Amino acid sequence: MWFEQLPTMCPPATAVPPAAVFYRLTESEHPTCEDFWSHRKLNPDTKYNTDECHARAVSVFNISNGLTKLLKMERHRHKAITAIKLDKSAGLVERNGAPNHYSWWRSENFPVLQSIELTP
Amino acid sequence: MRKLKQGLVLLFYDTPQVFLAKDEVGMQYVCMIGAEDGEYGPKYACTLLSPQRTKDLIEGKIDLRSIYEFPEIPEFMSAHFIGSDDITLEAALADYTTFPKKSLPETDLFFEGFDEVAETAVEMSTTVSFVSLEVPEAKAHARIHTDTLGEFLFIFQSMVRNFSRAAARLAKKPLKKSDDSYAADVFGFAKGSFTIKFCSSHPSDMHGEHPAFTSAMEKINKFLNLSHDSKAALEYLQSVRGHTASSLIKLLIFLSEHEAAIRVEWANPSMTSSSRSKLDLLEIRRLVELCRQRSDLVVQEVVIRGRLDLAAQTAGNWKLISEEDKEVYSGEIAPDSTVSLNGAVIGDAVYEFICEEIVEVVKATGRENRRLFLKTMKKLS
Repeated sequence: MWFEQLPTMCPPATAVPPAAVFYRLTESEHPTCEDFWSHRKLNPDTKYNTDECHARAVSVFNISNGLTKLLKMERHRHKAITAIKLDKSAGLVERNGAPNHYSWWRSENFPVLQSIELTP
Repeated sequence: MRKLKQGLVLLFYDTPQVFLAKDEVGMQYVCMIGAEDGEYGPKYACTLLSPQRTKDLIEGKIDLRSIYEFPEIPEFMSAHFIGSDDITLEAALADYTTFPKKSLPETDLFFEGFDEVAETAVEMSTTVSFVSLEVPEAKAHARIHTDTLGEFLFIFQSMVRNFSRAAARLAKKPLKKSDDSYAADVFGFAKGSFTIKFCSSHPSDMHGEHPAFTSAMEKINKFLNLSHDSKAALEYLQSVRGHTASSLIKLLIFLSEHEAAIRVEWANPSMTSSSRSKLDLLEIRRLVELCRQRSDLVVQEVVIRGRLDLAAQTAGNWKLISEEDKEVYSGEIAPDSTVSLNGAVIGDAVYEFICEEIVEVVKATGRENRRLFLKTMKKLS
């Protein structure tokens, strides 16, 4: 059902089906599937300071401005802001941290690249 | 090597990007994620921050680039997360004292809108309250006259106590005289007018809350928020009456006499943001004038059901042992009352005494003396 194997009780009960356009940083203006992989999927053996459930989610913002701070940092300076339309077939999202920040747990069959909006 | 503990996260994206951290001796750092991950995952560049710079950073008064370009102490640490508690980092001194230009964040990366009170509640795992008094002497520096501070602390504790007692009475579980579960501790002071940080003196429940303190803070803020409308404020005082109303009015009089506006923020760990209220001096003075015309607000009626231990009609004194809380209550016959203790049965009968309770504050010590004046009595059994 999920794109990645999730621990029990994950996603949390506070997560809800999305129905909006969200924004994520991608390595270039031509996103690849890997741009939407979680840190855990990209680096299975790395220590992250978050629980395993959230380590298997990807961050998205519901406004593109939410990502502009990140673009000022060396790690993200080269990246592009990509818009993606998420609906209930996309999985579940939970608002947490900053006001416009969401953690997204992606469902297995969600066509991520086909859901990208051309103009962010 | 130093061990750092992650604190407030200022920017999160898949993993913390920028956050505050403290070392083993409580020194504050800001840490920023690097361009590349290391063997242990993301690598962070951390640098020391003074309390003032920390405040400026989280209030959006200084950008992140300035912190790294012009550090207060030219020393940087390279850190990564270790261990299983998710918040411990191992940090080693970096071999540079000027932060590499290519790794500096761009200008104007500001953070703002952080709720220090809510964050503190989570950090301390208890209900906390920050009260700022805008006294004249705090205009330029974080200072306050000792007498003013002492008087305010007494009034604050008295308000919390009276709200807690009123809530307990309403729930038909009156607090015993020895019960001080409402007691608050001061755990810090901060700049910005004169801010006093309170938390409960007692351990929190399993949710990190302290019901007596939380309930009192809710009601204090409700009153302050209503106080922008005089009519609503008086209606609220009328609804709580007695000692609770009296302690709120004492707070207003104190603020008026010390020319101090007030701002109260409180939170418990389950709140996503703190509850806030404030009142300016003009509003305070307007309310004080209205309250001075309403002596009825501070009269507290007390009903005690119990057995007589003493009844002296000539001296006008009595002692009653409560059937409810087993406490001994003593008092006098109210001067305007026609009640008579002649023929009252000691020990064997249960009486209901309706009294007026007056609280007198001994100015020198701040102690409260409660006096009960018997208005009416009836024999129940």
